[in-house]
Amino acid sequence: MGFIRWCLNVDRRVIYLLLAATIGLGMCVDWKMTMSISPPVRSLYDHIDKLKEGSTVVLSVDYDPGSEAELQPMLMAVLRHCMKKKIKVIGVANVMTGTSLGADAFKAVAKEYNAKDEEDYVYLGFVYAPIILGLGEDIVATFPLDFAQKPTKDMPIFKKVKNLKDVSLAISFASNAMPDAWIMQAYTRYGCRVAAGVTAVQAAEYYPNLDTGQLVGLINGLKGAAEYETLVNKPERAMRGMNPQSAAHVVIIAFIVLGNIAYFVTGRKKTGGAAQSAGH
Amino acid sequence: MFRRQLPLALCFVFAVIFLVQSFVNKPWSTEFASKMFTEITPVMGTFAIAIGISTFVNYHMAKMRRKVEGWRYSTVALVAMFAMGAIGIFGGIDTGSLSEKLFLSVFSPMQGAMFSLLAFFMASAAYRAFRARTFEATLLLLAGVIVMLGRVPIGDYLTGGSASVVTEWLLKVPNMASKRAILLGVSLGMVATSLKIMVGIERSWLGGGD
Repeated sequence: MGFIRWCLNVDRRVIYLLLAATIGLGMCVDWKMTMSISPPVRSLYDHIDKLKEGSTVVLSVDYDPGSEAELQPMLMAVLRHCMKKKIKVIGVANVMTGTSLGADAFKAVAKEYNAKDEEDYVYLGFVYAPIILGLGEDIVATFPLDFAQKPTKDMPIFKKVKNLKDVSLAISFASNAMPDAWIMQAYTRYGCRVAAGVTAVQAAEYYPNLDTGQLVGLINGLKGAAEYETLVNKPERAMRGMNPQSAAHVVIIAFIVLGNIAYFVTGRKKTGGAAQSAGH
Repeated sequence: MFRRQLPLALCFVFAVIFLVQSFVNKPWSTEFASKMFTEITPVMGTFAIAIGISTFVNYHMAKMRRKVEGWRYSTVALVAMFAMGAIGIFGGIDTGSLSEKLFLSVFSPMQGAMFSLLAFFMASAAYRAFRARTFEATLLLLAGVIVMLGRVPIGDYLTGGSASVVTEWLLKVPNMASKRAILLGVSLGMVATSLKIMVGIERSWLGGGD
């Protein structure tokens, strides 16, 4: 009975310690698991895959370093797909603190595919302006300079692309409500197709937009990023994150099951569990 | 007049202009919108930065002057803001600059660390909250466990691939049905609130608890 009582009221420090140990172990173990591809990720991949060479895609960095672990791998996976398919990419940032993260991703992936700055891709960064509406009207007027402070006016990438009407797809990688703004402004006002890559906790919010066709695809959390890495055949950070994430989920589920068994064995009596819940 | 009537009048006039502009598909109308979005609003955004900095400085200076609890943190906040600003302005913000190095080596890991702590709080909270006390709590518990399994490859490995299929169904059917109902309600509320702001019934944005 002592163990059952313990299970009902495990000290939070024990949970923290076990979770940390399991995540650490998950990082060390190289266990290759089969990755199932969810329909929203497949849909986005297929949409990009069907774009013609030379089409233009806008990738928007709408997250800050707090969500970098989840969203940076998806940005890089999608960038790899676009650059591999010779699709031109315009990068912008709607969150100021995410600007450097986007620049890093563009620089790293462009190097892998020998993509030329200003011609095959350009990273514009952030400006204090309603960026989506500005892109919808005139990209060069909204961003007279790119992230590296070079004038955008005569860049070859903008010869055929004036605004969002000339863009085949815009993808918002977001840890906030920016995909809503992209749907309302880029899709509804300018008719530009939109997709999103969001953190796992946000993903449930965007299923209605997926069903209506307002989003052509959705990358859901780190697992979604790992799915995209599988599709582009370049397993990187997201795939490496799957083992610790799997281990952490299993530990949490084990604690939930243990807690419920103890709850039923002790006859559903009110215990200190509820009292402690406020303090996690 | 300048504190109340003028902002209310400006709000009404611009709201009507942009509402009408959205429905007028003429060259003069789109040119007007283009000019506003690409030229005028960035200028307004720049003023917003100035207001933001001044509010930030005033707030922390007041805390430091009155020596209220935690005033030392205000010193750190002010020094950090001015130091980062000066480094960026005088040293540049390009790739490889000191400003970028500080951002990537200090700010980025600190924010990542703060966010990662959530995993530990959530684990502890899930253990205590997910108890099958009632029918509704049991449903929540089952859905939570299935989604947790469906969002990691080990879930599919343990359930022969069914975890991700059931997770996708949960997101696509029950989740979407409830989300749509909430979205419709929220959207109608947004329209009503926007109209109230436009015509000056809702004035809390002016400040002063009106």
